[in-house]
Formats: sequence, structure tokens, C-alpha cells
Amino acid sequence: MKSGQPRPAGTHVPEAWRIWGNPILLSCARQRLRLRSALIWSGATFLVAALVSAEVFLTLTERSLTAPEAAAGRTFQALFVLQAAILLWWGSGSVAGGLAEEREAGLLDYHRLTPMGPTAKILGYLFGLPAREYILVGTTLPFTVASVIIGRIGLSSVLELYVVLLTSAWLYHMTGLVVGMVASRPRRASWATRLALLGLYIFLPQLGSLGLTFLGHLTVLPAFDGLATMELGAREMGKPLLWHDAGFFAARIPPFAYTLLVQGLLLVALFSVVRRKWLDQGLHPFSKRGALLFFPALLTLMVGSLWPFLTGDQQLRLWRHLQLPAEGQWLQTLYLFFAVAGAAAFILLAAITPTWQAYLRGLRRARRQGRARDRIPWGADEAPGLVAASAMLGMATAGYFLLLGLALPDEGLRWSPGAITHLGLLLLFAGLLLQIQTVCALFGAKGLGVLAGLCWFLPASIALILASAFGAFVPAGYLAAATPFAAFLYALVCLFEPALAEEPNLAPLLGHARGMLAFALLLSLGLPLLGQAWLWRRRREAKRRLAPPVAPDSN
Amino acid sequence: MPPQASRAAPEPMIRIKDLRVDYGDLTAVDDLGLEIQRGEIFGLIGPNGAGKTTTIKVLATLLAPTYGEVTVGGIEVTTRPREVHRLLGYLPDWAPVSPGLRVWEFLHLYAGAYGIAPNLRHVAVDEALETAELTSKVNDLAGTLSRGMKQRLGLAKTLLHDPEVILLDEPASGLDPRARIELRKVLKNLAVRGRTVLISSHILTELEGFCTSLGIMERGRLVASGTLADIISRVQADRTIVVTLLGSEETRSRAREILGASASVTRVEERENGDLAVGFAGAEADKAALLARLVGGQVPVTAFGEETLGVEDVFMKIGAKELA
Repeated sequence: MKSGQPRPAGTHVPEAWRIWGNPILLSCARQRLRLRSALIWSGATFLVAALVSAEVFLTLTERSLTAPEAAAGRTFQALFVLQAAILLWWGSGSVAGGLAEEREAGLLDYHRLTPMGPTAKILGYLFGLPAREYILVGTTLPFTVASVIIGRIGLSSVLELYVVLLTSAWLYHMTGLVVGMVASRPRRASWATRLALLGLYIFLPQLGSLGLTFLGHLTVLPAFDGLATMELGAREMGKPLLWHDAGFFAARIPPFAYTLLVQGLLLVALFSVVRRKWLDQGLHPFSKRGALLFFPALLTLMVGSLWPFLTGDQQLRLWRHLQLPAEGQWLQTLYLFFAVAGAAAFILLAAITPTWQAYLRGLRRARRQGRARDRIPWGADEAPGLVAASAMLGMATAGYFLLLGLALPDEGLRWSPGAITHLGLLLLFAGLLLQIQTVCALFGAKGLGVLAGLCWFLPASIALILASAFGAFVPAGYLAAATPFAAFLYALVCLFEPALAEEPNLAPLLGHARGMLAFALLLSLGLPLLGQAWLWRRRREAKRRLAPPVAPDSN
Repeated sequence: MPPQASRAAPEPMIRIKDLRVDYGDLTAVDDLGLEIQRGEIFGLIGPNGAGKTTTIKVLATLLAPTYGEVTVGGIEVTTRPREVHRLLGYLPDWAPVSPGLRVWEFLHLYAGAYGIAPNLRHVAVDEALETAELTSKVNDLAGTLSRGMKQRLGLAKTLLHDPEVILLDEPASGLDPRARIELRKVLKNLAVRGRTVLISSHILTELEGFCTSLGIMERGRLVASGTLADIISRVQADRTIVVTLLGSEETRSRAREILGASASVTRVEERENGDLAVGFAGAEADKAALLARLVGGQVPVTAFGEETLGVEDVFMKIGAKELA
């Protein structure tokens, strides 16, 4: 600067692939690996790993007289649990907390202004913020190596397991980055991430047992199950429960490849959210185009996972266990399909629907740009999102008929698939999307919370009390019609009415199913349509009040 | 080369046209237009909430406008932000630092992020430290620095990659008087070297004397811009000469008579301290003649000078007009 010579900046801008030269990664690592604290943490972790190894190995060999190979296998498992806890649990908290702190301090704005690409910045944080956790896991590795050698565990299985641990860690840490970019306070971000981890990677994978195999592969658990069963003989069952070829439509995909595929897809989706927030904190987490890519990808994964169970190539343990009839299996599958599609649409529409103020901003811009009838381009963040909601409805409809295509040849199925019942089901889904879009457009995310709390959960809870305490099933059924959980059930009951009529407990209620469905349709479509009419008037009024368009610049 | 090519007006370094920014119901910036030439130190003044920070954030690519054209160095900030980033240095009013990094580590982080070649980073960091007078703190943790020191570190970071355009949002907040004077020197040097500086402040005297031009913002609009002299000539209907006299009421009456008889005098008012404020609409020669007449009329004049308006006076006048 004093010299007055221009600095040759920009010639060495770190790019995403030059990860070791990434200044953000280096500075995060510097902050988290100061010699004194790194020594204390590493020493403590080494000590814990040593104690865990000694406890498991010596207890098994000395007291239970287990063979050293088997005891080493158990030691390997215990160490793996410790490593997963450090890397996945603590690491994700560090990522979310660290990023939220930097954002709150304003440092992210500094980074936004540097000419580094957003991908390089994201990778810098992704690998830099959990630097301490990587080192801590490293300090436990000598014990793992010893266990592998003593236990004679197959190296390829161990490598597979650790690759899945690493990809899971990146996925969890990326979840932490997403939460860190959204949460306002660092402490909240850290805990919000842990809640998100519980939901996404502990609760959601349980749906794998209902046929949504891909959700089960979001975690490291299937790989751990595979190694434990095949290599360590931890369970005395012949085959691993979770780590086997996954059915995807008519294909069988090896579990390792399937895990990488599923985790990779989610990683890309989360990365795109973080990238958008990097480019502009004010952008929606998903673009409309992004949402319309993610939604069909999810539907494809869902239909592809359910396919082998519905074609009879595979049978769900749950169905086998409950001895569920074909109609019951179909009812459960279709309910699951609409539940997951509805939940995904809920999240995506909440993410892409603009608030009223954002819409007005878009309207002003459109007017300024002289667009015909002040039309905001449908893909812009400020566009209302009805086009996207309609596209989602179309995609879900396609997915539904694809699934039905499997059922139609099944001559043993007792059901009444008239056009009206199909229409009822799809109109319910349309009503759900319209509800979400309308509430978001009118009242924002808080309105969505009120909708879920007051209009869905509260009537459902009261209906539950009415039914269980007073046996008032019919009033309870009508009350619960406000919630999509019950409404979809009514529609499916109508679809499989002939089969359910044979159930003595259900027969008296079946007469009301169509009435309840009609009531549910009235609520789920009528109210949002009124809301849309109000919105339409409001928009027209806003357009009228806006300043007249400016003549285009002659330049 | 054809002669008209060399006479073409240079492309302004910063150009804002029809800028509007909305936050919910609030319009923070409305219909703002502004041009700043290379090498200028442009002071953006206005009360809190006038829209200064919002304008600077749009220029820094940190905020998307509702609409408007904004270019830096001829590059549109909304469509090509990464190209603009290479040209910009930005310092917010509360300079953030990484508390867990030492001062030199913090600067090396940004030297790397701005793509300064590894063999030049030490030189760049040393120069930035020297400019911000932080050399003695080089090994301190940034989190342990005082507010003023953090602001200096922010300034060092801003100047590290020798940007073409420097955006400073209330940069002197937290700085002691000596550091403020040093900051002015640094900014003047940058302007001499052809760098363009946009500096905002609501402490008006802070910008007086070293800004080459000023813009005054009120409620999201730019109500005046240009050099201080330009703005003064626009807000001031006439010039004011202050005459200080020695003597009694009789002397004052005589002075009033003489002044009132002059065609270039528009008004004569007596101030609380006894000085006469004389509205004057003549040339410099008329001013000299007026003094000669007073002295010739045996009026004991001890001081005779034209009153110059400061930034604060100009701002108050413009503010009053706007509010009216």
C-alpha cells in the first residue's frame, strides 16, 4: 500500500479442490487446535479410548473367557461407537455453533466479499470447523487398528464401514451448516442441529422398516449392522438385518453403493441450501427450480423403494409379523406415500413461498422492469409459488398412479377404485398443498405453525379423547377430518371399502367414511380457496396502488 | 486517436441509479441516484436510519435491492458480484474479528482469501499492520483487543488487498481522536493514489475538511450532493458578512446607516453578542468597498469577514427544508 504498487490479487484465489490451501479451513483449524487445548483434549480422548478398550477386551477375555479374536471384535465395536459419537454428534454441534457464531459476529459478510468461490468457502467450514473432532477420532485409531489385527476383521469391511462413517459425518456436518446459516444464536444452533440430527438420522430411518429403505441408509447404522453380523458374529442370525442388497424398482443395489447414493443425494440438496444462503442470506433456502428437482427425486426414491415390496419380490418384516392382508399392505403403503410426499411438500412450500412483503418487493421490481401485467417470473423467490405447488401435485399424482399400476393386475385385491375415490384422494393432496401455500403467503412461517398446531393437532387430540373416553367415534371422526392425517385415512378407507367391510369392528363406521371424506374435502379445499380469493383481491389492490411503470431508459 | 474520444467523460467508479431497497413495510432507500468519480473521497451523511448503511451494503453486494442499477468500476453488482469483490474493501461500523485468531493469523486468512500470492502475503500483512498502527499487537488474540483496536484491525483487513474502492460505514466509531486523524491521513493518501472512498457518518464534523464531495441523505433519499461549496451555494440564498464593532449604540446606528445605504446589502441583523450579521449579494470588489465605507464613516471595525457554513449548518438547513 505504501509502495503504491497494485497488489497482484486474484491470481491465487483458492478454489474448491485446493482444500489444503483453503484459508478458511486453515484458520478454523488454527482456532480449534491451539496446542494446549489440543493436547488436553487429545490426551483425554486417548485415555477414554484406552479405558474403553481395556474394559471390554479384558472383561471378555478374563471373566467371560471369550477368545481374544471375538473380544477384539467387541472392542472394535465399542471404539466405533465412541468415534461415531465424537464425529457425528459433537462434530455437528461444533459446525453449527461455529458457523452461527461467525454469522452473528458479521464475519460471514467479510467472507462473502472475498473472491473465493462459494463452494471453496463451504468446504473450508465443512472440514475446518470439526477439525478438533477429526483429530480426536485420530487419537482413538491405534486401538481400532489393534482390534482389527487381533480380531482378524476383514479389511474391506472395515474400510467400507469407515467410508460410510465419513460420508455420514459430512452429511451430518452439512446439516449443521444448514442450521448454522438459519439459526440466530450460536447456542441455539448447536442444539437445533442435534435435534435435527435426531429427527433426520434417528427417527426418519425408522421408516425404513415400513418399506422406505432409502431412509434407513441415511445413517451409519446399516453399515455397522453389516460389519457386526458378517465379520464379528455379534448376532447369531444368518443375515444382517439392515446391510443387504437394496431393492430399487426391479434392480438390486449393493448396500455400500446404495448408501453412498442416498447420502450423496441428500448431501447435494443440503449443499445447495447452504450455497444459496452464502450467495445471499435473504434468499429462500430452496429455489423454486431446486424444490421441483428435489421433490420428484424424493418421490422416485420412495416409489423405487416400495416397488419390490409391492411386486412381491420382497416382503416387509412388519407385514410378515402382523400377517397383514394385501389390502392392509396397500393401505399402509399409500398412506405412507402421501404422508412422506405431504411432509416433503410442507417443508418445500414453506421454504419457497414468499411473505406478503417479499411478494410486494417482487411486484415493484416487475413493474420497474416493465413486465407484462406485472408478472413476476415463476422461478423468482418473490413469485407466489402456486406454479410450484401445482407441479408438485402433478408429480405426486404421477407417483400415485405409478404405484396403482402395480396394484391393478392384482386380481385378489378387494377394493373399489372408482374415479371418484381416486379424485377424492388427489383433491385432498391438492387441498393440503393449497393450505400450506395460502397460509405461508398470508402469514409466513409463524402462520404455518399455527395451522399445524391449532387446525391439525388440536382437533386430532380432541377427537382422540372423544373416541377413547366417550366412544363418540362418529363426532370424533368428523372433528379429526380437519387434519390431513385422518383425512387421508378416510380416503384410503373408501378405496378399500369392500375389504374393510368384513371387519366387524370397522363395519359400522364405514358408512360414515364417505361423509367424513366429503367433510374433509370441504375443509381442506374450501378454506384455502377462500384464502386464495382474498389473496387475489389483495394482489390486485397492490398492483393498482403501485406507482405507474417508468419508461424504459433510452440508454 | 480522434479528439472527441479523449474528451469523453470518464466512467464513474461508483454509479447508482434509481435505487430502492425495502425491508418489509419500510422503504430504507428510495429513488437514490449517485455518481462518484475515481479518486474521490465521498462523504455520505445523514441521521441514523437515513439509509446510509443500506446503500453501502448494496454496493458491497451484501444486500439485494428491490430494484435499481448499481455499478462499481463499471461492473453491475447484482449480476457479477464476484468480479466486484476484487475491487472492494468494506469496513462496517462494528468491525467483526475472529476472537480465537491472533492478529497476524486474522490478516493472513484474508490475504489468502483475496488471493494474494503466498510470497507477498507477509509484505501485505506487514504494510496493513503498519498503516493501522497495529504492529505492536501482532501476536495478540483478536478477541482480547479493545473496541478501537478491533476497528483498526478491521481497517487493516479492508486495505489488505489494496482495493480500488473502499466502503467505510461509520469507520471512526470507537477510534480515539489520534486514530481519527490518522484515518483521515490514510484516506487522503488512498485518494491521491487514485483509490475511491465512500465514507458514511452521522457525526458531520468527522467528514468536514477531507471529503472531496458529499451526499446528504434523509429518510432514504439523497437530498443534496456535490462539493461542500456547491451545496452551500444551493442552500444559502445569500452570503453573510459578520461585522464586529467597538463602541456605543451610536456607533452601531451609524454602521447600520452606512450598510443599509449599500446596494449589495440585503439585510442587517444584530446578534446577541453585538455583532452585525449583514446579508450580502455583491462581488468581492463590493465587499472591499463596503469595508472602506465603514472605515471612512469613522466606524471602529475590529473584524470584518464572511461567515462560512460548516457541514453541520448545511445539514441543518437541508434537514429543516426536508422536514418542512
